[in-house]
Amino acid sequence: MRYIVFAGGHMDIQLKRGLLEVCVLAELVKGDSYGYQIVKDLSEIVEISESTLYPILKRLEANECLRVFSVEHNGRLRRYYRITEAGRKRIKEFLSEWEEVTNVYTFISGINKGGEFR
Amino acid sequence: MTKKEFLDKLRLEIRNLPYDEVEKTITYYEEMISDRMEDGATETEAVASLGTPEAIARDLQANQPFSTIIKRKVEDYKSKRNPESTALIVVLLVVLFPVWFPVMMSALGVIASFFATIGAIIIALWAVSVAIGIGGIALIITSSFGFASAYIQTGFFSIGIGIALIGLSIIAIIGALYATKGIIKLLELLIHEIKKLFVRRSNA
Repeated sequence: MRYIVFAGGHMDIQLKRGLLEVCVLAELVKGDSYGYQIVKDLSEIVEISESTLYPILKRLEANECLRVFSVEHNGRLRRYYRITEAGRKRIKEFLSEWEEVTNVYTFISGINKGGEFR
Repeated sequence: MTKKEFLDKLRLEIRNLPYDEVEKTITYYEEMISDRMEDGATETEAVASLGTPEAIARDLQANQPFSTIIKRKVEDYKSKRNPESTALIVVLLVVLFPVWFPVMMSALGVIASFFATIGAIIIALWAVSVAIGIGGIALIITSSFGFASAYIQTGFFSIGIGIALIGLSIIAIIGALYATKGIIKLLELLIHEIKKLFVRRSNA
């Protein structure tokens, strides 16, 4: 029983991490962006801070889902992020995987018509 | 806290990470503070919104391999000690050797037996699964003796039981495979939790 609870908690972190990664990539489809702008745009839909974004950007860069380049701004360098082909592929995979999840969600919320799980 | 204070503190907290990693992290947080200030926040507000350097360092450390964490603990200790206390510790270590040595050995023994037990469980699961299958094969082979002699019923009986045992063995092997994977996953989680324990303590 303990193992199940344990694994459950672990999964949630993994799930959130994965979701945020795709969120960042989706944001970059709109155009190149920089750290603070990404946090600002994404925090309208999901809870994200600079410190959560940092490891996500690092992982996406390591997986070559995005490229980093510097642009001069107000006398300092700002790091911009650009999505790569691998990044776009990642979004595609996410969307097809989640079709199934959405179906499951619709099914479960259908059972919840009476609102007993609210 | 000012921007400089924040970044200095952060640099100190993550000093044992690879050089490249430290520079990248500092550059990132520096840019974040500048961008927040350009967006209208005061320096203090911009710094405060990022969380404490200690918390940021803790998260970054938790993602590091075990060896890096231990190295940091040792370095922390080295930077804090002074010659006098070192001498005292050496004397104490020597004098109290009869006390701490058995304790340490038994602690190591407990850890070793923990892993040995887990290893034994995995081996036992596989051994039982495979043994059932071997038993099944043996029965099928021996059934030919039944056919060779006059006891044909015995021959059919042996083949039937033999096939059933082989089937059981396949199911058991699949079970053992999942059990092995589960145990390994559990160990990984355990190690991750222990790692977090170390990092927490070092910053508490």
